[in-house]
Amino acid sequence: MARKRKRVIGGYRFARFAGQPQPELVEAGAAQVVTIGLAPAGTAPVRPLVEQGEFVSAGQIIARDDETVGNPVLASVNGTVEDILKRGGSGPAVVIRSDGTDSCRPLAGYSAEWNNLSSDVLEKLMYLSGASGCVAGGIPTRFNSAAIGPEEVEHILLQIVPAEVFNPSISVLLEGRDVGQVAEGLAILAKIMPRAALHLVGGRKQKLLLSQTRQACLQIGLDRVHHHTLEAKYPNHREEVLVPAVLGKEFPHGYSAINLGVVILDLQALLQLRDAVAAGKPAIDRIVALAGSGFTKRPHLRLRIGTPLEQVLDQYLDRSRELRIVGNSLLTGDTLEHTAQTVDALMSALIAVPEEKQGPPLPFSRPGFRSDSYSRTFIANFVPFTKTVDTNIHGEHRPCIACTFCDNVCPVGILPHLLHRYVQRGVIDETLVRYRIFDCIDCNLCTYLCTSKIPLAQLMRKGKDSLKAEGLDPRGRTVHRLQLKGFGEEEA
Amino acid sequence: MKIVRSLFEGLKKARPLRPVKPVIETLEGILLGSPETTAGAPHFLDHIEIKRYMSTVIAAMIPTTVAAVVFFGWFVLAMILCSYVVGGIIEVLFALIRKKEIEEGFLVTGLIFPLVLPPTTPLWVVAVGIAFGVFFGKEVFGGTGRNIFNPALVGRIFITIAFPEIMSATWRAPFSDVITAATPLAVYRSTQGAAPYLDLLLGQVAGSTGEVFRIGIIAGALLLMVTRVSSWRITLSYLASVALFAFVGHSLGPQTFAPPLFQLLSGGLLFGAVFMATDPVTSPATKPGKFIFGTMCGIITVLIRTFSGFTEGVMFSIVFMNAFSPLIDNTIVNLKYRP
Repeated sequence: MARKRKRVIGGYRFARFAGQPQPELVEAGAAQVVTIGLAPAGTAPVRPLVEQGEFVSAGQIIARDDETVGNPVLASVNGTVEDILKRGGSGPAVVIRSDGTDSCRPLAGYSAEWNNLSSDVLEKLMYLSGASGCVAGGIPTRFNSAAIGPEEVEHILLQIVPAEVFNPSISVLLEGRDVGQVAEGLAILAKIMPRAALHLVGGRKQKLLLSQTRQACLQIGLDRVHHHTLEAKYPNHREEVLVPAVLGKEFPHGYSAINLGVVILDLQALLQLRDAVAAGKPAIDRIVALAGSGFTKRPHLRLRIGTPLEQVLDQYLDRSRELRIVGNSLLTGDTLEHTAQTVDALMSALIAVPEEKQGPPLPFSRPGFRSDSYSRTFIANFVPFTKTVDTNIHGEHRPCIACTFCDNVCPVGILPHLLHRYVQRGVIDETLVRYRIFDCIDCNLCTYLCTSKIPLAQLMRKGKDSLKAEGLDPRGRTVHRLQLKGFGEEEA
Repeated sequence: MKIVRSLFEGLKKARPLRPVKPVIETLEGILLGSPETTAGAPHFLDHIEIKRYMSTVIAAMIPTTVAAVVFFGWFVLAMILCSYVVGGIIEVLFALIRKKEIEEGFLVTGLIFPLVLPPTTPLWVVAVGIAFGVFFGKEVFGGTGRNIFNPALVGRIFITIAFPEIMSATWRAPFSDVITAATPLAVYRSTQGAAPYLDLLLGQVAGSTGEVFRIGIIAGALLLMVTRVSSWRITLSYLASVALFAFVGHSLGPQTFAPPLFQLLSGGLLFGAVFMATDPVTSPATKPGKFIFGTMCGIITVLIRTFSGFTEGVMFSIVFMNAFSPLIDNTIVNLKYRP
């Protein structure tokens, strides 16, 4: 059931950037000391179950809360709990000093013949392994791991669209595996989510992989699998774009795909689920791609969750330059102070780019062999050279000239150039709601390519915040109109 | 490079130079790269900037500018210099008053203006025109990005009305010192005789300095469209509507309407449709709005050329439609985002 590619508006293809991760996997092993955050992926912090001085083994649950929606937190190394931080670099955390062993006990009850296991056991394995927490918002199980239950899931989307500037290599994620294991992961999800249709979404270059995966699914008797091709444009990998493009559904802006009964996961999360169930492997590590010209080598590293970045980066960073380290995405990621930060359950890439405090002389007259631009005013738009990234703003702040580049690329079809003028002038009222300012998904693409270097997305966020403060947030109505799931009676 | 950088640092700090700080900052911006880095996500930005954007427009005008100098002599260069100097002074004065950097939009205005004047325009008229255009067409509205009318056209219309004898009676053909007093459009109106299309394309006819070398304008148009700097929607809808309206008109009344191809290749139409109607600040921003704008410009141009006392209607049509741009945009946006 190959479906035709859906029309997606806007977006921008970040092509040919220098500093892509190399297709090589380095097993980094267990770190000496790990600091594991207790508030994974912006959820409410969970209560620690261990005490200072207690010995924990890798894969053991060290924090869990079954009353609120969330997933357990696992120890990622064998060792002793050294400290329980109320307020670490990023919220409460447990510090564990490793005993130096790399071993990890498999989960109880797993089976390579997972098909014989009941849904109950499958869900338990997914939950206890922490694998259900490897996706923002969680993967639904009967253990309150996501806002909805598994029976409410209508669609499962596996997305491998390489839409970012730097994308982890799919071949590294699949190293030592075959597509059969991807199919297994999908089949496991299909078994516990009986109503759900499965969708594989990739770019054009992933077409072959997707059709092979579909074949593998058919071989194990999974026939409700569709595959879709989207252009590898940013931000086509985001749920706000995927849901309308693949499922033809309106996205409930301000909520998550899960509220529509849609689970979206990437390849790494799917394989972690599969490994938990079929190999009993707890989700205690992440494959993190190193990207950007700030690294001397850019392999993918298999890192235990909680590994301090400082330790990882030391051997790969180019120390001769001033660098900025960014997590996951250059467009939306946070700047990481790598002395304080550790690897978390959602980390997929570390990007190091030069801090360029002084741009080159006579910038406007340069041919730009390596300069990326939406406008085609640089040679790089016409020759196949790789493009470079640095943090300089490459220009001066000016008033908007209405070049409408932002309107052309906006993935949700709003008019950033118009909305920012209202916010700048302080005219923040219902008009902005009517102009669909709340559809903005904060992808920052408009800010990226503004000719006048106006922080459009930031201004629109300011507008949205003011409107919310005035009580003009239209989200409340969305819950009823789109019959969203995952709300208690009193909330809805 | 370091020396230049520290020189600018020193100049910016010098107390006596404080009143001209915007000028220093502008020079620094031109010579040196930006000293600013992104504050957070997005961590890197597109290399496009206003200077690059405006430079691309100027690059697109190079063929027709060079042709103007070749065809009409060094005097054209003097007109361009005069326009840049006088307009530049006003621009700098306003930058100083506003304490903001000098805006790059002037680079384009200062070049467009002499290119839409007859090659015999006295320099003092050039000076008066650009001064009026920059002052009343742009600065009084608050500078580039806030103006309603195309500043070059405001200046052109002002001197057309103020000095009609200079602006309409003294045309000159390329490579000739003879004052012919008749552009192809004027000739057509009196004799119904169309100039040869090849002469029109190559600019071997009388006309404004920059409008005659039409091959060069077409090359510039291609550059602007390929680089995404100007909107093909406006240019093509403008030309298409002129062609269509002229075709219909010429079929019904061949005595009244000039033939479509002649209309396309004569007067300031190509120059206007490529370099002036597409000014992003003064044209609609919405896509349907651009089509409406271009189409209306075309209809008005043909109407003026055919029925008014003026032989050419491009500048009036563009300025007239400039006034409607906000209304067009507003209507389109309100239709798109209905309550």
